Amino acid sequence: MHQHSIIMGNIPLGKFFFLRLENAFLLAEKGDIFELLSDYDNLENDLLSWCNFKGEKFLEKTKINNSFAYKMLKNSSTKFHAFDPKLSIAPLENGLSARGAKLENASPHYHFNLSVKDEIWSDNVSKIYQESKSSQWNASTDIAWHDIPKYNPSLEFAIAQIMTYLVENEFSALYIPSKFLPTISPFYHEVPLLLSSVIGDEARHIEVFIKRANATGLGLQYSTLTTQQSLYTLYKEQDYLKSSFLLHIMGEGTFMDLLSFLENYAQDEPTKNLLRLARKDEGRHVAYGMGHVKSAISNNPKRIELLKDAVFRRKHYLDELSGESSLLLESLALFAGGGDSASNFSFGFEAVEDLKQKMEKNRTKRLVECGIDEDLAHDMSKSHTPNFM
Amino acid sequence: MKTILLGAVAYDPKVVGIWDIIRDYANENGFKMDYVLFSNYERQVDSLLKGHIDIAWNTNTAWIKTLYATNNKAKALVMRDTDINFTTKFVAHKQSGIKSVSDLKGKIFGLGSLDSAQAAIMGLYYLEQAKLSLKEVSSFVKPQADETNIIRFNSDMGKHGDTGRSEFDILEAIRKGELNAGSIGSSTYVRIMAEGSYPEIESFYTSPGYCHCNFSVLPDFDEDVAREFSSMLLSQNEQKNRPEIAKMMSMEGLNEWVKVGENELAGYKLIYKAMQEQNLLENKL
Repeated sequence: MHQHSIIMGNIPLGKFFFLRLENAFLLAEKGDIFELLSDYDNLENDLLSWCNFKGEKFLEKTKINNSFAYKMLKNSSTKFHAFDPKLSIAPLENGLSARGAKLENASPHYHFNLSVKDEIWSDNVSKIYQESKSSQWNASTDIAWHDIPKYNPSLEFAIAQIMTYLVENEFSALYIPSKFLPTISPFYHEVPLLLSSVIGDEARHIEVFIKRANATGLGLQYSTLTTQQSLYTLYKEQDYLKSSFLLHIMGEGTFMDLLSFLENYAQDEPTKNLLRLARKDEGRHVAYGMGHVKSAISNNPKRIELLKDAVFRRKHYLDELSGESSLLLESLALFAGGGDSASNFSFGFEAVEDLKQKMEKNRTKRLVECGIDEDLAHDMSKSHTPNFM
Repeated sequence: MKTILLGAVAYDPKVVGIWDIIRDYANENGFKMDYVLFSNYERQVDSLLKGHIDIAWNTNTAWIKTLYATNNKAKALVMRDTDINFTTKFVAHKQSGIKSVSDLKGKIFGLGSLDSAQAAIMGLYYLEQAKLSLKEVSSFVKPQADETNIIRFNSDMGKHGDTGRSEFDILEAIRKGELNAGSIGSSTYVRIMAEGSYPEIESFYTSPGYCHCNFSVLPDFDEDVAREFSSMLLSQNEQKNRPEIAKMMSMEGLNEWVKVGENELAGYKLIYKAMQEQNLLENKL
């Protein structure tokens, strides 16, 4: 039990008076005693009525020097309670408040699908969020758009086609975290904040790739069935861990190798720059996915089965459809070779084959880092979609 | 067990939400119950007396009419904590110079709906106790120096003051200077003080406490069912953290349910007396 003083002085009965009184009782605990000090000596009847309606108890009035003390008891139940910040399941009553807030009783239950810490958490989440804030860039002003030269028509087409492909892939990377974001309990507020930054990054990538396609004078080109089918299998995944694994590690991890390849063969600085900046952003997304999957696996190694199942089921589904995107592969070969002469193209084609091997090797490495044994990691890596994402 | 039918008066659309929650809670907890809504308390009391409903959620006025019609044998089961120590407040403009009931000589005083205990019945009762010379008038005419003119605001008759409309009519008339003072219930008074909606108005008299609503049943109501009904309601006191219970309690204006005992029943005695004096005991449809 605590004793509280409310010094009202010459504040008359009215809105402000009752606001203070109401809040004082609201935050107190059942059994607490209040001494309200006022210059007025005729408040007992009105305070008694107020107490009756609020479920509180008016005790007595006493005169102290020139003022009056009205004693009241908090008889109604304690209204707020705090939660242990170390809870591994977000409390139902937590609603939209962040971890650390004290909640009023009878708050509505949101029933967030993702309210178990282990299903969303990564120990590096705050660190990545901090890095994200200091790595923001502007797709309009940070790229020297006017310095992009004109290339021969076949190279311009290759660039426009690659950008078209990048845009749709980036949309999957924008929409998938967006789909899960509002289902995560804010009790683990670091995760929704990070996902918001991921979403911001992807929006910027979409903007910059559309701008680069437009800079060719051709604009967006062909969106192929192969790419759409592959992205669709990613988009419709309902389980957050599987989705995070497929998107951030398998997809964006592979994408980093692709962006690095494109940066390497791009012939102008502005294009190299935008690819480099996008790759840097993707690095943070991969780091979150790795941390998330790593911790989920170390807490329960059986989860590897889930991830394995996700990869092989996706492969099985895609195997029944089409394989690689021939349009994309030709554009990549053209881009790497720098033109469509036979020698350029053959050089470029070799480079793309090297890239695919490098992607598979790096995927295996990432999977091993997550705690998956090497043989399985190798099989899973090989089974990844030929669409890269 | 047969399904118990409970009656309540629909003084506001929110009533549906309140009774839906109570009905669902009752049925979930094994007490088979449904409810019907009436447009006025006289019809509800009549239906209780005729056995069309089993339990009536009655105002104090409706309870006393039920009591009178059953030779004082009807039973009251449960009430809200806020039904205890309800009071009538006499209010006036802060600058009116009216500081006590005796200052009402030569003034115009407003009473609310005829059937509202807080706004009219108990207001009139305590004015008469003060031995004022009262004269009921129908327009705002200045009284003789030794008389007090009474004007009634009979709005929402049949709702027994539940809507509070006649009390707000009184407050508006005081604000406009048409009335010098008037009678309102403590619930409305606490509300306007906390909202700060009539900062120029204050209370200069608070009546002794009396009781307000209760769940009334006829004398022959099955005692086991009465006990089950009461326990069902009282068990909600421990369920306040459930959003729908908290919502219902807030809408219905209670902090907890209370079993009606001798002390609570005593809180109706003076209203009974006042209704007798004012010839209001008979339930007229």
